[in-house]
Amino acid sequence: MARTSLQIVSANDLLDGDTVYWGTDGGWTRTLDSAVVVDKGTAADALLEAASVDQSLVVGPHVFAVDMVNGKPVPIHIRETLRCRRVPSVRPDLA
Amino acid sequence: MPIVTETGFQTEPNLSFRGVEALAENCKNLTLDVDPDTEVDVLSDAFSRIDLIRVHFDSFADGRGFSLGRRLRNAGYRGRLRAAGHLISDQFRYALECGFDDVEISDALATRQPEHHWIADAPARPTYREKLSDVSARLPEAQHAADRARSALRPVSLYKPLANVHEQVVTQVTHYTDGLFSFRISRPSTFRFRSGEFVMIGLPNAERPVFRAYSLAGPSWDDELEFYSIKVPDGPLTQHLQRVEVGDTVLVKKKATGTLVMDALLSGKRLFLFSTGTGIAPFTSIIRDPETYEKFEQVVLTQTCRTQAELEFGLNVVAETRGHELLGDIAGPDKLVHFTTLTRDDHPHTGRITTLLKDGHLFDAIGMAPIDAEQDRAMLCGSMDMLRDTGAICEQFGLVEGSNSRPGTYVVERAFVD
Amino acid sequence: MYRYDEFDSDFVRDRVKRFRRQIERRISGALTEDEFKPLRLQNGLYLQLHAYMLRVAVPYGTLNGRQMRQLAMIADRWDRGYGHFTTRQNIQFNWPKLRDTADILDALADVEMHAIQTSGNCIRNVTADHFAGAAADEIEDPRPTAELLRQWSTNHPEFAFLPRKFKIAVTGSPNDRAVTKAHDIGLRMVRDGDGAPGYEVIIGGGLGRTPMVGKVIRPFLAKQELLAYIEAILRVYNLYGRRDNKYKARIKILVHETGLDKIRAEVEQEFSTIVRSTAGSALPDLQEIARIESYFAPPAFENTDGDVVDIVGAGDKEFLAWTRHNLAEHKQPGYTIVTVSLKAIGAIPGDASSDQMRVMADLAERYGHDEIRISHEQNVVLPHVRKRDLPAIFAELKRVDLATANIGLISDIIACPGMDYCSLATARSIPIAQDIARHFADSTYAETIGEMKIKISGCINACGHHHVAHIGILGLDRKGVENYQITLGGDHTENFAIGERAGPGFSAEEVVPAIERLIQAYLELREGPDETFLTAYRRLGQEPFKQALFPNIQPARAA
Repeated sequence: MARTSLQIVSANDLLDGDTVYWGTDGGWTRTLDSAVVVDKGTAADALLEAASVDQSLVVGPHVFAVDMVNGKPVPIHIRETLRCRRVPSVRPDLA
Repeated sequence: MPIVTETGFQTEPNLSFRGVEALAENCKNLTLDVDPDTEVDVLSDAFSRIDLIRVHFDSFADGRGFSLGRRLRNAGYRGRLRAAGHLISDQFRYALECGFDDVEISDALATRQPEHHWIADAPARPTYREKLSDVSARLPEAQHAADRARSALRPVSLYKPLANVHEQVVTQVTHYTDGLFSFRISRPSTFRFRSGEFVMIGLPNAERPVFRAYSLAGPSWDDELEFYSIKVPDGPLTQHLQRVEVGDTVLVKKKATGTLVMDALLSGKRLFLFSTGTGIAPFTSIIRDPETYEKFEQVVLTQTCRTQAELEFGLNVVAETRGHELLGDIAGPDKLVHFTTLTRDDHPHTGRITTLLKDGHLFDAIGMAPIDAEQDRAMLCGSMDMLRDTGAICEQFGLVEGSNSRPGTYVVERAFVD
Repeated sequence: MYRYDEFDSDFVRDRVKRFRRQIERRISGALTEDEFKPLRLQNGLYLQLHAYMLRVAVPYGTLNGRQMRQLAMIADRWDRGYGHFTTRQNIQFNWPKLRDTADILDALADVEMHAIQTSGNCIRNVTADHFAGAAADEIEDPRPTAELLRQWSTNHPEFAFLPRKFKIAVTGSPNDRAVTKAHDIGLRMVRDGDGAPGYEVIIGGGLGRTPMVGKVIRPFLAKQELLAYIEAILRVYNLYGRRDNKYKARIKILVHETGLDKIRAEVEQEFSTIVRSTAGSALPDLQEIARIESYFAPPAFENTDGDVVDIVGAGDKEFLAWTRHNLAEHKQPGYTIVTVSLKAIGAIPGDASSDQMRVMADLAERYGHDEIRISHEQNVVLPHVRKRDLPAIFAELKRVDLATANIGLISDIIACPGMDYCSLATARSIPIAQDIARHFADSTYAETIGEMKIKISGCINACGHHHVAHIGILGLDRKGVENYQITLGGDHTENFAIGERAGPGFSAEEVVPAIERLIQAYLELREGPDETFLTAYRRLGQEPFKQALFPNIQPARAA
C-alpha cells in the first residue's frame, strides 16, 4: 500500500521551452531516464534548491512525483506524463 | 542608492524622509514618504509645503504607485515626485509618463540594470494618449512635461553582456588517468562560496554554452578555483572540458550553492566524509578549510575508487594539506584520517564503503568507534546508488538528513552524482 | 478596415526592438525571470507545457487576406504549420523559440499586426462582435470604438501593472455576440432619447473561478466621454483592486465586495476630476475619432437588386446543408455572412493549418471584399459575400476540409487548448471535444438536436467559456486524474445566464455517454423541434436533465 514517494526536478528550457530534467551529471537534460530521482522531503527540497540557483538556462524549476517501473522513472500525474511526451496527445504526428 | 533621472544616475545628499504624520506640524519644505494606498486628500491641502514626495513601490508588479502619481499630478501637486523601491528599467518611461520626476533604486538593481538600461528606456516617444487627445485643450504643464522629456534624448547603445557569468582563465591542468583530470582557474574577485559548494561552469564554445554543476574542489580561501572532473567521451561538457589548456577561458556562473556545507550540519565531534569517484571534490575543499577543524575534533575522509591511479588526486590533496604551513598543524594524521579503498585493484582495503561500514571493517581499520548519532556527522558524495545505500546506512546509525534550511546530522549532495 | 499610419508603424517597430533587447537581457541575466515574465506576457509570449506560445492579437477579430497569409507564413517558418484561433479572437502559435519571437513580431509588423497586450495584467486585446459592419441587426459598427480603445490602452503607462488582466468587449447590436456581460467592461452601443450615440457601460462581469454577470454602471455615456470614463474605472480598479489574492484580483470581485453603488460613486468622482484637471485632454480629439471611423466605412457593395439568387437550385445536398447552417443575414441585399467552420468532425476546435489559412485568405480577396473575421466561437467569418459566389466558395472550402455544415450545432464546440498545451490546465479539453463531435457526426442526428452550444474549459479559468454554454464541461484534476464536471443552461447572449452545475464529475470515458443521455432526455422532453435545448431547460429546470445524467440517483424530494 505504501507508495514510494520519489521525485524529479524539472523545468522548461529558457530558449525553446522544451521540458528538461535535472540530470545525474549535474545539469539539465532532456532525457527523463537520466534524471536524478530522490525521496520526497528534505532530499527533494535540497535538489530543487540546488537546481533553482541558476535560472539563466531554464524557467520554472519544480518537483514532481514518479514511480520507478523496471528501473525507470514514470510520472504519476497526468500533467507530467503529457509533458514528458513533448507533444500534445492530440498531435502525435508532431513527435 | 542611485537616483535615476532622464539624463542618468545621480547621487544626492541624504535627505530625511518623514511619513504623512509630519503634515500635522506646520513645517515647510517637507520631504515625504508615502505608501501607494495613500489618499490624495491627505496631502492636497499641504502641496505648497511639500518639496518632494517619494512613493514606495513594494514590487515592480504592483502598479498602484503609477496611479497615485497620476492622481497627485491631477490634483495639482507641482513639487518633485519620486518613485522608490522595486521598479525595473523597462518601467522608467511609465513612471515619467505618470508624472514622476525620478526613480530611486537599490545598489543591487543598479548593478544588474546599469545606467544605460535606464537611459535606453528614457527617450520619450509620442504616446497614443497624446495622439488621441485634443491638443488645443492640453494644459501648458502637460505640454511642458512632454517637451522636457523629448529634449532629454540620448543615443541608445545595444547592450549584451553575460551578466551572470564570469569569464576566467585556466592556470593549471593535471591529468591523472584516461578518465580523470583536475584544473585550476583564476578566481573572480567578487566570487564568494562556502567550502563544499558547487557552481555551474561551462565553456565559451557555443552561442549557448552548456553548463554543468561542479563542486569547488578547493577551499574557500584559495586565490584560484579548482575543479576535479571525469572525462566522458560524449559528455556535453566534459568532451570539450577535458581538452582545456592553460590560458583557455572557462565560464563560471556567479552563484555557488550546495548542501555539503557546515551550515547544513548540527554541531558534533567527528565528521565522516564518504566519497566515491569524483565525489571527493567537495571534500578536498572541506578538508582544506580551517573552519572544519574548529567545528570538529576529527575528520574522516573515505575515498572509494576502482584503481590505484584514481586515488591520486585525493592522496595529493591530503599530502598537500598535511604539508601546508598553516593547515599542517591543525590537520595532522590524528585530526584528518584518510581511508582509501579500491573495488578493482589490490589494496590494503578493498570493497565498497557500504560493505565496510556494515561489517565494521572501516572502524576497525581506522581504530575508531562506530558512528554514534549523538556526536557524529556525515557528508555523502558519489553515484546515485552510493548515495542511496550509504544514506540508508547513515539512517540506520540514527543520522537524520539535513539541508541549509533544516540542519541535520548528515547531508547529501544530490545536484549531481558521480 | 483600420490601416496603420506612420505613428502606429513606428510604435509597433519600436516595441519589437525593445522586446528583442528584453529577450537578450533575460538571457544575459540582467532581467530575472520574475521581471521578464510580465514583459514577455505583455508581448503575447507565454511559456506552456511543451514550449513557448505566442498569442497574436487580431484586434476586434478583423483581418485581411494579406494578414491571414502572413500568419500562414509564420506558421510554416517559425512554428509547426498551424495556428489556433481562440475565444478572445486571437491566434496562438504553439512552438516558437524565445529568440525567434522577435522575428515573428517583426513579420507581424510587416502586415500591421502585433501581439501587444494579449496577455499580462494589463488591458487586453479589445474584442467586438464578429459580424460587425455586416450584420443586419446592427445599430452601429463597434469597431471604431474598439480601435479607439486599442490605441488608448496600448502601452498605457499607468495600467500596465494592474492587479489582474482586464478585458473589454464592444457590441453594436442588440443581439449580443460579444459576450459583453462576461467582461471586465462591456460596452453596448445605444442612443439616448435624442438619438445621440453613446454607450451603456457594463462592469464587473467575468467567468473563471467566480463567474459573475456584468452590471450596468452607467446606462448612458456620451461617445466623447468614453476614454475619460474608462480611465476613471481603470484608476479606481488599479488603486483599490485586491492584490493579496490572485483569485480575487479581478474587478468583478472589487465590484462585488465594495458594492456597485460605492464603486459607481468612486468612478464618477474620478471621472469628474479627470475632466476638470486635464481640461479635456483626456477626451479624444473628434477629428481623430472621425479619422478612425473613416477606415471602417462599408466596402463598395455591388447593387444586387433584382439579382435573384437561387441557392436551392445551385448545389447538392451537402451544399444546401452548409447554406442552412453557416450563413447569417447581411445588411446588404444580395449579400450574406459566411462562417467557415474550424470544427470539422474530429478536428481540433480553432486550429487551422497554413494551407487552410491561405485558402481563406484567397477567398476573402476574391469573393469577400478582402475582409475576414475571427469569432469568439473559434470560427472564421467571411463577412461580405455575394450570395451568388457561395457555390464557388463552398467548393474551395470543401477542398481543404473547411466546409463542415455545423455552425451552431452540437459539433460546433468551443474548447480551450487544455492540458495538451496549457500549463495552467487541470485536464485535457480537445480530446473531449473530438469524442463528442465524432459521436454526433451524423448530420441528420445533429440537425434533429438543433441549436446546441457545448463549451469546454480545461481549468477553472474558463477560457472555453463553459459557464455560458448550454452544456458546459469543466475539466478538473482529481488526484492526478482528469475529471469532468457538467454545467447546464448557460447562455452567452443578451439573455446572459451562467450555467448551473449538475452534480459530480465524470471520467473522460463517461463524458460522451453522459452527453448522449442528456440529448436523449431533451429529445423526449421537448415540445417540438422548435424548442431548443436551452428553451426546454429553462421551461423544465435542471431536475429531469440531472436524472438523465445520473439515472441511478433518486431525485431529491421536496420536504
